[in-house]
Amino acid sequence: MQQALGLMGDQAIMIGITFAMGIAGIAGLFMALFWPRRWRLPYRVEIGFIVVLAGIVIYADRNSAQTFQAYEAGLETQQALSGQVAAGQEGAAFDRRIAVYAFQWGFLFFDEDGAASRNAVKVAPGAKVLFSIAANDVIHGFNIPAARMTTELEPGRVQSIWIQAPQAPGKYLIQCLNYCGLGHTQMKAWLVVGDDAPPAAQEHG
Amino acid sequence: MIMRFWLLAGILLVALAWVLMVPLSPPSYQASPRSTVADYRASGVIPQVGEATISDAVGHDVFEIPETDAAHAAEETAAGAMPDMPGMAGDADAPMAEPGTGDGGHGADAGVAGTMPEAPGMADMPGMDTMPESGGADAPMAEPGTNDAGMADMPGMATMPESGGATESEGDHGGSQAGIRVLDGMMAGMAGRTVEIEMREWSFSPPGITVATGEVVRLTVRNAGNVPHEFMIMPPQGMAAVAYRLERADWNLTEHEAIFERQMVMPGDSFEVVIQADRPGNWMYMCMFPFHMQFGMMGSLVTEGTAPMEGMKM
Amino acid sequence: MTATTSTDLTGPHWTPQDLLGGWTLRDFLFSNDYRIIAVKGILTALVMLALAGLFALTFRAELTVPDIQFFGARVYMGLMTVHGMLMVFGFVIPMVISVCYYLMPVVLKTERLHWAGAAQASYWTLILGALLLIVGRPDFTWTFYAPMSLRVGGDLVWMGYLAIVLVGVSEFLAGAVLLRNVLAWKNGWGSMPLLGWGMFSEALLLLLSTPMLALVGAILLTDWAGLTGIYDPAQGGSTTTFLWMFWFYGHPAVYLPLVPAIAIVYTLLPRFLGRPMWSRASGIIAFLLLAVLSFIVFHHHFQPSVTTHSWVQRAFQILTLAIFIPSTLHVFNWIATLWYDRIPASAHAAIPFRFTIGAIFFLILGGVTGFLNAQISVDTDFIHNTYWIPAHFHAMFLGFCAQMAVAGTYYLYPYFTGRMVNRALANTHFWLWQLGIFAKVMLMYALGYAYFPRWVVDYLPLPEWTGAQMGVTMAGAAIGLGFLIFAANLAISARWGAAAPEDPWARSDREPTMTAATAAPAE
Repeated sequence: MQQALGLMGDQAIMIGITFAMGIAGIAGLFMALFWPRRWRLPYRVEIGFIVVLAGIVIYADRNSAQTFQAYEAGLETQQALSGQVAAGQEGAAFDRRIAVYAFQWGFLFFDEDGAASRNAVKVAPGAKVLFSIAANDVIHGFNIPAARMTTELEPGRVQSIWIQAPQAPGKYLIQCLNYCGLGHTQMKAWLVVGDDAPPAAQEHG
Repeated sequence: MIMRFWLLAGILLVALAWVLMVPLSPPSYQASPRSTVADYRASGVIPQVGEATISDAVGHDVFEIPETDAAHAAEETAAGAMPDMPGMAGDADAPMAEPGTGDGGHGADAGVAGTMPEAPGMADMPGMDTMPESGGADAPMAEPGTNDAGMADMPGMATMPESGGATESEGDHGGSQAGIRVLDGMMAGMAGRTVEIEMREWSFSPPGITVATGEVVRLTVRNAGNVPHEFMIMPPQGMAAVAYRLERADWNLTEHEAIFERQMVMPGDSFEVVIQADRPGNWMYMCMFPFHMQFGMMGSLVTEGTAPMEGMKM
Repeated sequence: MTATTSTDLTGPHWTPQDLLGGWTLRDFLFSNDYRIIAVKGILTALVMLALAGLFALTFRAELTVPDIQFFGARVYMGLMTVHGMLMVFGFVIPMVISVCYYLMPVVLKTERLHWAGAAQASYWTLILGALLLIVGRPDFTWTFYAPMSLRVGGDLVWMGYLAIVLVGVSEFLAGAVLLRNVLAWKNGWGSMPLLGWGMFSEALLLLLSTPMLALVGAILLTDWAGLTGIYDPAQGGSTTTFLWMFWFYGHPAVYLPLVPAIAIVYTLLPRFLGRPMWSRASGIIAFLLLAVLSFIVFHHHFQPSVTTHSWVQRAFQILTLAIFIPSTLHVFNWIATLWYDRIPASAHAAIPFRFTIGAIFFLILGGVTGFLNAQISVDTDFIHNTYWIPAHFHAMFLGFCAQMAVAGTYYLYPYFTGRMVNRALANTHFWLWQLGIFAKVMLMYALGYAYFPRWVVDYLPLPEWTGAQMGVTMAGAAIGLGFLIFAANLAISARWGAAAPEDPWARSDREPTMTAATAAPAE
């Protein structure tokens, strides 16, 4: 959801913190093992260590919660507008509103007029797209690697996510990420980004 | 003592379990879901009956056709489909071997096939001896319009207006051997009888249809199941290409060719198609969603006196 | 059968003896001697590891390159399911608990395993469950999400549900045994060794979580039979109910092997270093915090499925992040213990100590990513149900828990065989595992970052996927080879190994340092 909001910098910081902590831990382990100098840590170091950890935890929680709320705010705007402004019109929260029917094993996409396409959906480059995903058989997943968004859907519930479509025209993978039966491997579809021209070389991620 | 016993017992157990898990693995199985359609349709989770139309935003060019398809088609044409095309062996009078019997069909064995006692007498096929070898458009046609090699160029023949964009008839598959014509609105009026087909998880009912050669039949296909299905009619030549896709990860990302295809039949929806078998033969109808066919969503469409394809029941 | 017990946590626990050679098969299967129960548990877990590992290598072979080479989705998912279940329920949890069964009577000075009958019952229930699983060959994965799990598997799938119930019963009994033995400690909570605190938290996890697993298994059974419709939306049930019930067990469950493995570290480090842990209090606090938090974080396993942005979800997020603190306290404590004085040359050379270090390394490698997994904003990107998650839990289960189980086994080996393992073979095993697990985990992280989906038999030939998959298969082969060397070493050394000295893990070249258990390093 960070990509949809243009917050990939936040994610990079989190991955950086993770790397730093991992490297620090492993470096500490090897120094304790092989560095000739012995070091008796005072207990207060641990207190300080906990405070630092707690700070990182609170920072991560706040950051994630803010991202999450901003993301959800987009969906709420859409709800508030639904019925008044059609997707794509001026004032709409999203350029496209696509209903997805996930089933064993494949995806159907319904555009705003209820017209269905099987295992592929076409959107304009950079469009803000709202997917309302539903299933009526088992728990499925819905993942668009290029848009960096994943969700999991329970049968009988409509799960809404939105993405920012990639700018480059092409075909991007959509896949199920929850084991949903033997055809799970094949439960894939294309997100076709482009205008009317035939899609270019197949791309991923 | 304990260690040796444990080692031996362990190795034995591991070997037995492996044999049980891999070579003796149980068949693929998926129980049919209980229907949630009525409830979920009421709450708007899934579309209403007849509400869904077919989008033309996504063309077939989005999906690729695996390169192996052409090779498979050629292979099948040379092998299993041989009996349907005696002309290819240069021996138009050879009686038909039973389709799918394999050895009767190989080009080199055509002469042997002709002497096989179990070969059913089906030599009375109209126009068979004039069928072009490889579906070339320049080959003389026995009867204009009968040969579906030309159908791709004839939209009126190939599509049913009432079925929308998802209904298609692809004539180029397997050359001219398809043998099933999909009739449009005007010619569909000739339909003599109506066969109702119900699709559900994971079967077609009825599982097989027999038609007379040249008979015009109206198929009414209804999805009585819980999830979307599709309906396509394939010539025997297509089956190797289908088998190739069966467990490939890109099944849903590739296109397949068929004589007739109706995508996305939503639960509760139905459609009609009028077909005519130009010549004796056998074909299959199936749902081409992953594993639907393997679980049993396939049926055979045969002309009277022809045996269904071997390996039909999977 | 004499056991030398020591009040000193750094001293030898037993005198090496060839117990194994003296046991009859009848004794071995049914005796209530704690050493027999523990060794039987360890050897059985190793058979389970062989089985589940062979299954892993089999389906790994299929994944090496794109396309189907050997078998299709049904066989693959059967192998995957049984691999996961046997590894978690049959190998790693029973093995670390068995090592603790061996350690507890000495470390906690109970001299025997109380309620050994319950431990036997736990063992045999698990065997029955494992056999049912192998015969039933279900293909619903180890998380068996309803209603998918109610529709796959065929006629024998009920055996899978029953196996789930039996696993629940077995683990519950093990929890009762552990609690009983911890409570047998006479000298008060204040001086209880950290192994006791670890076993106390483990007992809480087992006793409180496993009834839910048995209940889930039983409901799956009745739902499948059509008697109830609790998890099946088509029968008026709810998948949400399933998710909450299953993961209420499922999150404590992933700590079931972790907590005893941590307790083994706390037992082995003082033994090899000849000094007490840097901070006993921090270990106790970390154990208890970990046990409590493990019950209230389970929602992170399915957080992208919830449509609301309620405070509940936020609470689960911060609690999940908070788990980071107690687990890091353990690692901090270990590193501080290693650092505050010289490490004897004998420790560097000892195989169990090496495996302990390797295990700590992988606990760090697997643990830090938990920080990313917990954040909803990142989780919904490349983490949820991509290979990132298997990378995370293989680092934890295989890299840490299984390696600590192996360290415990190498440590105990002279005490029940009277012989030392072959050092060259053991070192080969060590390096094959470290390199194999490291390559495997890192490549799986990379695959996860490239959105490789879990549970697939075949995949698209994308360049970022194919090379890494090939690498994971080769790393898996190295781990498998390491296991074969390990098993052969155990079998060969039991007969031909060098006789163990009086104290097989005697410390040498160590400077005089404080050895009293109660003495803590001053500030």
